Amino acid sequence: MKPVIHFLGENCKSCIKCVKSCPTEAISIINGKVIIDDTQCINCHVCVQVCDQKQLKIREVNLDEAFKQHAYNIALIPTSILSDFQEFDELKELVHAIKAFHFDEVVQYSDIEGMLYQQALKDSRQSDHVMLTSFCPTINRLIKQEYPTLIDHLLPYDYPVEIAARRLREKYKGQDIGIFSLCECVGKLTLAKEPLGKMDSQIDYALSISRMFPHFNKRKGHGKENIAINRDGVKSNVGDLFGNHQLSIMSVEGLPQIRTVLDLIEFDQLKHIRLLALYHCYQGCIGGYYLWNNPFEGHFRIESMLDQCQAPIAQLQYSEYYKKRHVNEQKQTFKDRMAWFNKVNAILETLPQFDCGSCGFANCRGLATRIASGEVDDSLCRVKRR
Amino acid sequence: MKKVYQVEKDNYEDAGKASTDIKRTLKTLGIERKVLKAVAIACYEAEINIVIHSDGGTVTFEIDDDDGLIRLSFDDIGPGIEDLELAQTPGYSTASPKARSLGFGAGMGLVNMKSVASSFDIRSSKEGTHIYMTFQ
Repeated sequence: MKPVIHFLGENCKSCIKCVKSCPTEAISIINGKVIIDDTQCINCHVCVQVCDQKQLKIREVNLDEAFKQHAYNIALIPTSILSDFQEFDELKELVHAIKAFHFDEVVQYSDIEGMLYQQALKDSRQSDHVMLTSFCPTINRLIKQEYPTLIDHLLPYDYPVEIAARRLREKYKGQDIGIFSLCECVGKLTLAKEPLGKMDSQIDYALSISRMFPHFNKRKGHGKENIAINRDGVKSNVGDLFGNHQLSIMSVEGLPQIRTVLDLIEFDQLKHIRLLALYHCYQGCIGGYYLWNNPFEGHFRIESMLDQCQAPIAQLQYSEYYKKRHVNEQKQTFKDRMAWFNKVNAILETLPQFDCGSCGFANCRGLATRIASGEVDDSLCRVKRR
Repeated sequence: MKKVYQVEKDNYEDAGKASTDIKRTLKTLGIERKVLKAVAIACYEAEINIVIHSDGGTVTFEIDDDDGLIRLSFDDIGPGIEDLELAQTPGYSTASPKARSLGFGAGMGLVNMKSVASSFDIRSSKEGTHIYMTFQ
């Protein structure tokens, strides 16, 4: 897969804000160039937001090209979009506007989310340890990279948007359809063939919904089209609504809090919680970067519309939603890894360990690692040079 | 590689920091998931025991450069465990009300350690308690 975020370069001042903001230490600056390590990046897009010079950009689909590719174009729209509206009818207007703009069909997948929400409640009841839901691609990546012991705690479900796309492929078997996923967050952009190259996805293109708004808004106000939303699907998108304290089900939002809770699970200390929903964004998916409105009012609004979300849940077979989770394999032998670790530690001892970041690496360990691999030398350390 | 951590009596704010650091080191080293899990659980339990029950002590973490054998020792300076056999009975606890109110001291500490470690040895006198575990 291609990296989500790419570096433009012309106006970078090497201010290291991106380097220091990255929660997984994936960013370094070498010779004035920002380098994002794709094996460590979890697509949280914090770096994009802190860059004053706007030198980091999220990869995008070429829309004009995309529309020419297929005979019949389908838009998958996220459930969290509802939080942008004051009333349910605005969603119906949006659907009408989307169809007025190059799309032949609009599909919503809250029925699948609702089904998986109920399945998660069921499956966590049968488990002897706390289970984690798996709808946030950013958090799933974090767990895979930093908490490999917890992969067994993740419910083995595929992403609802992917299941929805697969169903469309079956429905239109043999026909030339283009499936576009309009996304509320950066993480979801990774779930498509374009722009990031997830070739086993059934979704052709993923695009930010905020990029589409100008097109849709121009076409709004000319009609409405019915769309059915499932109540539990909505609940699975919103942090507070997911929880149910009587059933010991909770939600946790934000990376620092999520790390704390995952550490506790690794220490086997979270004994009274059955199911935990984890969201990178504040208030869950309604806090998505691409949603226009704020999640504070959004939460209020989406809750007030719950009664109008009466669609039934999807009927899914186990094989339709099950997804095996893979563990990253170690390529080196233990002895090699240990030798490498000791080598880095020995170099680290010669560095000041202030972790100032002015060398262009997140901390002294980062610099020590690159010195060990021979890419740079310790002349980059400004504290040592002083 | 060897690292020693100081653990303070009744310092609940820092309780678990040694275990967190050891866990991080093992992840950097790419230790097998099963071993990592066992070390995390046992190390945390034993570290918390020093905070709750002892007058302070140390956690010593060692990993063999060649075969990856992990050794953990927990050495505190008293007051010791009066009845070792009783202390290893599931559910038995002498934790203070304060410790219990913070969610510690369920009486499964030693039982859990014993069940996840490859080897487990405990000695105790009035001068202190020493727990020695290995993981492979």
